[in-house]
Amino acid sequence: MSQAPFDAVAQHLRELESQLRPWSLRPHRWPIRPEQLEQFTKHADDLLRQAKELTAQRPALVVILMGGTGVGKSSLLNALAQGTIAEAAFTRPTTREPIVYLHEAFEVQRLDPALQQCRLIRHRQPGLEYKILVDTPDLDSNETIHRDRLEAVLPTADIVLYVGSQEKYHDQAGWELFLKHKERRAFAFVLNKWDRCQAAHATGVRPDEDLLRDLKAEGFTDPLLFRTCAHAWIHRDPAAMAQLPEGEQFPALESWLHQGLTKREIEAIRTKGIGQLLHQLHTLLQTVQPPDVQAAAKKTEAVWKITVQNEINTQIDTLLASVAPHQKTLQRRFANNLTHPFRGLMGWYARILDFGRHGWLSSKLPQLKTTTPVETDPQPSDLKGFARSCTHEAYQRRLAARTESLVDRLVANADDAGLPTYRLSEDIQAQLKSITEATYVDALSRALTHAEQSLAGPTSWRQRYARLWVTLGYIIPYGVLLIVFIWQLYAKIAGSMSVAITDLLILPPLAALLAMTLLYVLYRTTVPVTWGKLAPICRQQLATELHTRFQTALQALPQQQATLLADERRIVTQLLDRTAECSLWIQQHEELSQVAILYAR
Amino acid sequence: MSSANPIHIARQLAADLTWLEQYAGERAELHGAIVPLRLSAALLRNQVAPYLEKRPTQPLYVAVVGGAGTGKSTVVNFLIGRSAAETNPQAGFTRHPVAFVAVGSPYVDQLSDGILGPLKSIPGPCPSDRDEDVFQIRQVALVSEADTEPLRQAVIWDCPDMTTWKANHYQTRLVETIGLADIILYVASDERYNDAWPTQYLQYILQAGKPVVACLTKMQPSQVEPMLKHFRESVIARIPECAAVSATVALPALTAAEQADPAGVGAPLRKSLIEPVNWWLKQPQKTRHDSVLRAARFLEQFQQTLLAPARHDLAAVAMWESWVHTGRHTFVHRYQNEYLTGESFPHFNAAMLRLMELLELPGVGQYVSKAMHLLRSPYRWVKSWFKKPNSKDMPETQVLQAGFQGWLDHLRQQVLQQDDQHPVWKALRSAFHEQRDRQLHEQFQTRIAEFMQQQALSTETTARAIYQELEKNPTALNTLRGIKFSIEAASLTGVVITAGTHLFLDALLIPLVASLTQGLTEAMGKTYVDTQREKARTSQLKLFEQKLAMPLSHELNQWPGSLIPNLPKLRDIVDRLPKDLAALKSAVESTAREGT
Repeated sequence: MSQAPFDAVAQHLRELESQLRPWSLRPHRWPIRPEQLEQFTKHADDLLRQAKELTAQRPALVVILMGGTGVGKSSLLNALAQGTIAEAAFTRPTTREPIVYLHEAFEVQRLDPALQQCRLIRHRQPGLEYKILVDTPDLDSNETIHRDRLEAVLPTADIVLYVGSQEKYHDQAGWELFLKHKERRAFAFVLNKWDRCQAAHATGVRPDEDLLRDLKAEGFTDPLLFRTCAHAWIHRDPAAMAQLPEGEQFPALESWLHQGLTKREIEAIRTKGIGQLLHQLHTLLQTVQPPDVQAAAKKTEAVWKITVQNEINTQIDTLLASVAPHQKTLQRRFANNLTHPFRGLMGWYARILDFGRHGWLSSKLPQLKTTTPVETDPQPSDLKGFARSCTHEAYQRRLAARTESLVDRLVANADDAGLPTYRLSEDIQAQLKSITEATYVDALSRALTHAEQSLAGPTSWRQRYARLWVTLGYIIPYGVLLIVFIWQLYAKIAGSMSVAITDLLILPPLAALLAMTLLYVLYRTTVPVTWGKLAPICRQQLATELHTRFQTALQALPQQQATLLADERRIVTQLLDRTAECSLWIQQHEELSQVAILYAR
Repeated sequence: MSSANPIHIARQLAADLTWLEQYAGERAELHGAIVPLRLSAALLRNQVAPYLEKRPTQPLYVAVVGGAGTGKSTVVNFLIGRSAAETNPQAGFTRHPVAFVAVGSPYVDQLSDGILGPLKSIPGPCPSDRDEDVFQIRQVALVSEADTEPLRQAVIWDCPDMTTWKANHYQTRLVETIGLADIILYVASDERYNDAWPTQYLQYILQAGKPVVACLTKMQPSQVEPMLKHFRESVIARIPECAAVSATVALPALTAAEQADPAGVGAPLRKSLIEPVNWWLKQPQKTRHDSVLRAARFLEQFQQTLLAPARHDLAAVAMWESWVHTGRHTFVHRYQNEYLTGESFPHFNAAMLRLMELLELPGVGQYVSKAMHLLRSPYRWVKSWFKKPNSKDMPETQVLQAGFQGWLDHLRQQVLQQDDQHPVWKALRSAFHEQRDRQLHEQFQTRIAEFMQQQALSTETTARAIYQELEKNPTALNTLRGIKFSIEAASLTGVVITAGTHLFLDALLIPLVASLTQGLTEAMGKTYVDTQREKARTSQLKLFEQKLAMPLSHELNQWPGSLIPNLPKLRDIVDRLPKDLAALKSAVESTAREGT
């Protein structure tokens, strides 16, 4: 393999990483579990690591020894180092930190950061120039921190040398870790303490055969297994060597590490490792890809429209019901507005009456109980204030609760329509925040103004009709006063009736009063701005206004949710495509013939 | 002490815990709870219940327990004195418990089905790698010396391991045997003695109150003392219940001769192993009593741990219930706000009219009344002039429907925000999605109908009571009528006297005064009716809570249970277990007192 294609794929991997990492860190519109996000971060780290290694001049191979405490990982490394590493005590667990065994010519900077921090032991063995052996702490002792340390360096491994002993080759603790990593990394196996595996008269399966059988079940067609007695090889003591049992394979392991793993093989292992990484990433990405929800968004929009329409109708009912008790006030206001107030005697009379009713009425209007500052008291002349005090009651009693529960209704609608509701309710809530009591006050006062304009505006026939009444109101009281006075005076002078002087003074005003009362009542009853005419106009105006408010607030949301999800989906698709592209490249350049046995199928 | 039969309680508890274990087994996140649950069930089934049954003679059980390849079978052979158990280099060869009992022991017959829970006994020796829920009994000739006599009275169990990954499906057999055992011989090799999972087992065993003799194997003879010391200090001392480890002994790497002839060449080693076991075997009664007592205490102490898997799902249900609770408050609040405060109860208006009618004079007096009625005309005009029109309020059913729908929607919205992998939320989610909440709506409809009927009845009764009291009491009624009439008559007379024969003034003032007195009476009547109305409002709210809000929230609380079949049983277990365990403990204590 030439260097150039490696550079190209390294570039691809970097690009993939630069896209994957920011995406995995940003907030998502689709529920992704924390452990999945953590996986993405790990994969991104791995991509960078692999890209870095690929561009190196000469590929180096990291072989990590993994296994339970006491199986002889340290002995194995020591035997490979020909006894140059200080021996540990016999108490368990022995190795506390990972130990990196590397050639003296190998630059530390080239090591993965996770390995740079470990204890380094330098050697001069020519066959291991580009092979880095790492001894790790155990994975099964009571010191649980050891397992964490192992897992910190394990991602740097190109090959994991899974070391087992007669007791532990089948242990769950190691097996689980093996299963977790077998898709990703090359595995070779060592069955240490081989001498203990051959008991006479044994009825069971011999451990190596037992292990091979299980490995085959896990997809290793021809697993690479070395049966060793590592401790005998530490000092290469001839006496101990002589007692080695049959089938001991430490020399084979040593020569595999020294000569077997050629540059080509190392490259192949690396490439294969990348392929496995990409495959895992691909699978993971597929699980977090949101579905296409355009159709569901359309459906949601339609359902929401109906829900909102129904809700608005109910809310208008409520609003109008809160105005209805004060309909007479409104009617009177409209009557007053028809023209200038009465003049002369009638003017005084109307003012006194109005004062009385106004005082009485203001106490009957719904009182403002909240802390919302209200600039003016509800005056019938002040439509906005009137709308405010009516709305306040309706809002406190009904509208606030209804709008709040509308959020839930809409979420339920969306769920029914198949639109993913992840974080949707927050959006709806935020949007509906803009609809407050003031919104209803404005809507109602505008509706009332509108009704007023259309029913009793300056151009309406009522105006002309009312002007007639005012003229009558000016003339009639004086007329009656005068006529009664003259009649009484005439009667007194003519003597046809006994008229006391008090009668002469009291009766004419009384008669005028009676006339004014009659006039007033007639005026009020005949100027025909009734609630029955007012309400439908108000309703229509309110419907238009509230509909606009709600639609502006909510209309865009389903589509927005769909767009955000589509966005997420697009990015994931891009990542998937890129991953597939890299995989394809890797597949084309894989040279598997030599290394297939190190991998599970 | 509970009146229920303690033996029955023990068996029931064992069944509950086994059910809980299966439940935890189906859920990956609860797998950690399996072993403690199985151990507790086994203790109840295999030790506590037989103890309470007071079986006349029972052997003591010694269980040899340890990780794969640690030399459990070798230890068994040393106890027996000859090679009776297969030693095998294959890790995890032994797949079911093997009982070794001395030839001619009186207890052979007792080793039958039922002593190890669901494990069946198989007659005669068979290979110990038979991978089924069984146990086998091997009668062996014990190599006997003076100090092995107590062992002859005991049953020695060679157990499967717990460390291999295959052990996942057979470690329950090991746990059954631990539950049965009176003494545990914990075997660990030089490789394994500080391993996490076997140590966890040791801790379970110690927590369950079993006396433990620990045996370290395979080390070089020179390493014996330092290794035992390290084991005691860094492994055993870390377990809070370590006091029950009565001895730690060593069985160093064996020569072939020692292995082949434990009673001869290996005799010194054998002696050191048997001695600490004998210490317990020599006082069988006390060992048994103490062991059962500690088991009962363990169960009571660790009930929260045992219930943890049950609580895992119930926690979600508790969350649901808290939402139902807040939802109920909103529901009540909305009803009160949207309906009740605005409701004037037409019955009461009718009652008011009726009350006023009652106060009019009967009989001949009715002509007077009619005249008065005519006189009061201005009052009626003024009143109707000022009368506020009634607004058309939202009907009650509509308010109720909206409230209930809002309640359900809120619950649904909360559920949608939860983790969709959790089984409870998953089930609720799909139930909502498949509109299985329709049945709740149906129940709601029937409840509404009932409620409306009841409340109509009750307001009508209250309203009618306003005038019925007076109707039944003619004296009071007549007194009131008299007072009213006297006031009217007096004021009218007053007017006539004051105004004299002045026609105009009379015509003006008499209706005015008549109206005033009527207004006064009506105001008084109205005050009374309004207080009654307020009372009716309060009582209707109460009725609403009783007949609607409470039953509905109860139904909503039950709903997850009806969707997820396990929930009721989980809840039942969580409720029952603490009481049952306390009862069991006192039963065991009193049995132990009788025994000693």
